[in-house]
Amino acid sequence: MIIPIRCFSCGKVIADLYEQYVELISTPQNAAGEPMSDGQAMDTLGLNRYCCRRMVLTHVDLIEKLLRYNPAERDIIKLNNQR
Amino acid sequence: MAPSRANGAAPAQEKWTTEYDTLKRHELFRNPPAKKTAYPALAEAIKPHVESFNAVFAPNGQIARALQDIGTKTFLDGNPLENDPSIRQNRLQVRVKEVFVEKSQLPPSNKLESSKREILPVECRERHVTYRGRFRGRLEYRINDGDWKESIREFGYLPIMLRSNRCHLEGLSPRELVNKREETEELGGYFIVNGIEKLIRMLIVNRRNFPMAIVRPSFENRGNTYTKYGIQIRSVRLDQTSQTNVLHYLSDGNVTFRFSWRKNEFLVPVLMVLKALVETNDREIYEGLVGPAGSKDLDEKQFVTDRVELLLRTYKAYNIHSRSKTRAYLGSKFRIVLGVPEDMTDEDAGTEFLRKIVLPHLGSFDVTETNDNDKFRMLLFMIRKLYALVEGECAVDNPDAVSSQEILLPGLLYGMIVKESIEEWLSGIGASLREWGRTNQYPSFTNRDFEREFLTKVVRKTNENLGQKLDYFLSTGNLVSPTGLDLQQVSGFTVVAEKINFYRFISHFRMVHRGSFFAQLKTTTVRKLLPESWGFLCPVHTPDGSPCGLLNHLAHKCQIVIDSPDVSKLPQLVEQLGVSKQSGASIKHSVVVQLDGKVLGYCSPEQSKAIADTLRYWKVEGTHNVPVSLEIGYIPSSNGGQYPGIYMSSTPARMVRPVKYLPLEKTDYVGAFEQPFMSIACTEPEIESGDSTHVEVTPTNILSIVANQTPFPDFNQSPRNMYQCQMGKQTMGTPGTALKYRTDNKTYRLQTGQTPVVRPPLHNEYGLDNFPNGTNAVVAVISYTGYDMDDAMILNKSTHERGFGHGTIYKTKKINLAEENKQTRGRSGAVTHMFGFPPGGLVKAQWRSTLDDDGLAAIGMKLKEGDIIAASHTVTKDPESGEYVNRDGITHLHRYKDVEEAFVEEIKLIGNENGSNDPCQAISIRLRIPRSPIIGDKFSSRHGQKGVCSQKWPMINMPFTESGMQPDIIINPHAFPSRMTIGMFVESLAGKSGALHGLAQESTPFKFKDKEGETAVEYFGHQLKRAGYNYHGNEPMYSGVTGEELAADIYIGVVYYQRLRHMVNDKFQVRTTGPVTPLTGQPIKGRAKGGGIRVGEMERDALLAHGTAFLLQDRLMNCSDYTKAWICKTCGSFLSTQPSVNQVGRGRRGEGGRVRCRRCSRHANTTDPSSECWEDCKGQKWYGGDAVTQVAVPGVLRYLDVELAAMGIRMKFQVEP
Ligand SMILES: [Zn+2]
Repeated sequence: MIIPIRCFSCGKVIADLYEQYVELISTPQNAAGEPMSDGQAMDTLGLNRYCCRRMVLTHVDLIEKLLRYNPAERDIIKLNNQR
Repeated sequence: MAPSRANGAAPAQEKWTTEYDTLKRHELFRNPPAKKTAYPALAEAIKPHVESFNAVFAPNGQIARALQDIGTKTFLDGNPLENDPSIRQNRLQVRVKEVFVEKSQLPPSNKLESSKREILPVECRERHVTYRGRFRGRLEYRINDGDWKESIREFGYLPIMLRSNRCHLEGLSPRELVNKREETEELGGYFIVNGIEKLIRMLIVNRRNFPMAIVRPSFENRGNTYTKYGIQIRSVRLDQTSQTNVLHYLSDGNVTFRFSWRKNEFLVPVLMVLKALVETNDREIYEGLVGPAGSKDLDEKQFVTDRVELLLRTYKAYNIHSRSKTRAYLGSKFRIVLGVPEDMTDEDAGTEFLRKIVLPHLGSFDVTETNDNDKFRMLLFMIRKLYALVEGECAVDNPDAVSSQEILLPGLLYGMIVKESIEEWLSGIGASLREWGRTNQYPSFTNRDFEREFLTKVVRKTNENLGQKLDYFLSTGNLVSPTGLDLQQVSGFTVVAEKINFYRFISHFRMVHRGSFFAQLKTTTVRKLLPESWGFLCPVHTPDGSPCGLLNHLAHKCQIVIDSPDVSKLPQLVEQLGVSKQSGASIKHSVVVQLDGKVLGYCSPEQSKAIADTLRYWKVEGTHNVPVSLEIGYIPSSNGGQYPGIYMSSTPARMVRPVKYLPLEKTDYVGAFEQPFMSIACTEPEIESGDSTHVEVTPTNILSIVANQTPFPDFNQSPRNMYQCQMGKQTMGTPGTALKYRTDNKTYRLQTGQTPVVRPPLHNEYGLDNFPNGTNAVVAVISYTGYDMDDAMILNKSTHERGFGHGTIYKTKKINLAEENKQTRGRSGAVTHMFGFPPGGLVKAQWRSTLDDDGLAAIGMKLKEGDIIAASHTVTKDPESGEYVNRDGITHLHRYKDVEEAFVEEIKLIGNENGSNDPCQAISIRLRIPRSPIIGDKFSSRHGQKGVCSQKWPMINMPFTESGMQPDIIINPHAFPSRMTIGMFVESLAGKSGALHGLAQESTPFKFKDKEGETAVEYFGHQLKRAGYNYHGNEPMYSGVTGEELAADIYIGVVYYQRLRHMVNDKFQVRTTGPVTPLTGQPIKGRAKGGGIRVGEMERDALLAHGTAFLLQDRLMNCSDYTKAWICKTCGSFLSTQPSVNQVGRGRRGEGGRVRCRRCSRHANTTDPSSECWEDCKGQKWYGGDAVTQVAVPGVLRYLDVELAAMGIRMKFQVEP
């Protein structure tokens, strides 16, 4: 759902790296204007052990989806209907 | 079938790959697509459900046909008991012309809401009600030949399938679905009944319109001369209801026609049916069965000619000639059974019999001469096949093979029940008419009173609530039907669509059941996996245990045909290809060509091959009006094999699957009937020139959705893959994201779900990242600490503390005041209770520890067993002010009854749809139970390797690798040799290198070859090596306790682990003493009731072998039904002892209450010393019988004694010393 604070196995704090990771793989990073590959991005962030790497790599940020069902939904639906 | 579009699904879409697609996924999460779903494969998977429902109410759909089939019902006036034909002359005709099913809406009585009147599915879930639409019908009636008059009748409310054409969610895009508070990938296909999601599961039935040769020894029990041979055809009408016809072979060569009508079986000589169908003569029948005079091989057909002669000769005994006389004879016998109008002639009744019962697929309404002729020819063909079967010319058709089966679709069954309830209602008008006639002295229908009172008094008296029947059917799964709908079972049609996780949920819709009738069979033949199932039913995905092989799942590419395409051009086409009407004598020279159970003609076996090939080419090409969904079942001639011919079908409910047609390089849809006689290469290299006509799209098409998710299943021992299919469905995963609006009794949710590193592309295609089902764990295969014996696994304690496998259970409790106080409400339905504290009543401070001001538990409150969750009080309506007032000031408390502590997550006040402003009568409370993994919880990898967490081992004591990593999970190497789950080793390798390189690893089966240089191990080994790790996946490790290097390198890698929903907190059972069964005194069973734990035979044996006799005594006796019982030492009986009674007023205390043996005593004499006499409860005096003593025995022993005594057996015990 939300990325765990630390790597399950080694305890390295990884939660702060996730947004940077998404940034690295989504925005242009080299001269050719390409974003980094998943592996490169994790290398850049200093995620060396495969335990930490799988935390970032395989995380599913389900919270984004859950936020679609907001307690303040009525307003959101109204907004969406206007769109 | 291929072109038809499912809900919101569009055909061409960019293909999904194995990749993580993190960004794409985020985008889909944040902005659900406004146009079409990103996962069309999912919509495709539930298509059989939704589309079959859509077909029910479609124009010219199932119900429209059914209404035609029901036709008009005719009733006569006058007193039926007076047999005076002159009075009974007026006819009342009734029919239902049309029915209307609306979408779910507020009832007209609700005046509060004016604009938004629709009731959305989410509201029905939250309010625990049924999602249903208003059901009405146009009743038309006329008297004699007057004009039809009409009336719109209210038939109640019909439950509606979600995302069908009667649902508000039909065709909505993911974004619109979110706005309607549904999942983005809401698939529909199920019903909401009382807030519970229910679906009608698909059922296997016999293939329609195909005469099957069967041999069933039980046929011999039908009567004298009956043999085991028969031809059975399940003839399906246009409205999808079916009628089974069977031809029986009698040992003297005769043939009888059997059918069942309204659960009764009837037998008719087949010749009578033949002669009733068309105007014919013996010669025509003879030639139809044997072949025309002068045809080839006629002399070889001695067997058939003998029997046909006998068949014709024995029929002479009936002495019925012409067609009309035969019909009249049949009509006179069956008019009561069929319930035809009383004024119908016998001949018309006979016609009605032929229309309704004999091969109705060839015409069941507006039957023409041509239809009857078709039926005649089909019956002749069936008799020929029967004789061929008896003669041994052809083999039996296997009813357990998919090739002779089709699917009873949910919509079809639903429509059949709707049809039947309409028909029953129409007939019910007759009963109501008689009732009305009796009370009104049988007025004539032409009477003005009748006209006035027909609708108000007669029709109103019938039970018009037809929707209720469907409601009952869906909520119980029981079929209440006077006809039985030609099905073999009456219950178990519906199941709850459990949303434990998405695998479970989607599997429900791909599930095909063989029928509960077969579950009782002792033989295993029906459960066997047959080669015919290839590509249609998944060979892996079936549960183990009692439903094994009966409950199958469709292969993920298997589709079910729903619509019937136009095939009117086909008869002409085959005629052009050389099919003639006349058959030859032998199947060696003349084989049949049929279309949907209609004989088109006969041709030579060589011709038949050419015809089948040509038609197939045209069908795939899409020319000559041959539809692509047509099934061309070409059965070649063989020596004693299946009866040859071409059997084409275009009907719905068939299973088809896509394969590539080689001559055109195009997709062909292959059916289950034609497949066994086709040559379909499995892979491209296996194509044999001159033989293969097709090639599989990909070999994994034979697996179901769930079976396809197992990584590298081709490396595993096969039962392990079956276990994984089971466990995948029991995993605590993500049931969905719209959890806030769900009210399941119990849902499980995993907090830290991840997407697997090792997965097939189908994982993304089916959108499984929307529902994470497990966590990638670092797994070391090592025997460490000893706590990993016997499938136990050790969990790293710190891993656990950082949230690994953390789960939550949500429970919903409903408190309904109206239902709880049904008696006090009476019939008026007035409100008698209200939530909250009574105004002015006493409110104890102790109650307020959990309750808020509103009398409901505070949100976030922790509840223990017995805590108060709501308060209510009685009210009465003050007639003057219209307010509800409380008069007694008493607070009623509602308590939390479960043992486990829970938090109050949310309380919903449930309103009603009537628009009345009654006070709230029901609340729905969602409770949250946090379940972080504890010792005893069950985990499993995706390879059928389940294990129980035995210890949460402190991190400091865990072994570590050179880079300082410690595993999340330790499993014992002994888990592998006997189970041979090599796939798990490969997954470990692949997972590790995937994490290191940042790759998603493709794990589709059959991708790697068993050739040096191309194996999976080499592929992933080299990847690991590139990342600087050991090629074999081993790493040196150090003991966490001593810090020394372990002698062996340890196999460590990343494996996707599932947390199963079986948790100790739901399972643990403790008992010292507790409730017992009154009869035996033994502990009751059941954890929920605080029952005992059985010490079974094996446990007993173990205790005996250990010599622990005291423990055994303790378990079997002291903790069970230990009783002290009186026994007589002299006669050795429990039953003869009885307590003596105190003699009143004698002051001799101590004597009364003592137990004596009545059997060993005699009536007291005056000489007996009174101190040794005793008195029973009737006041009689007895002497003796004082040799009684008390012994400790099991309570059941006394019970056994009583039971035996009832049978006249006396037990005698020797009591020593
Ligand atoms: Zn780590």
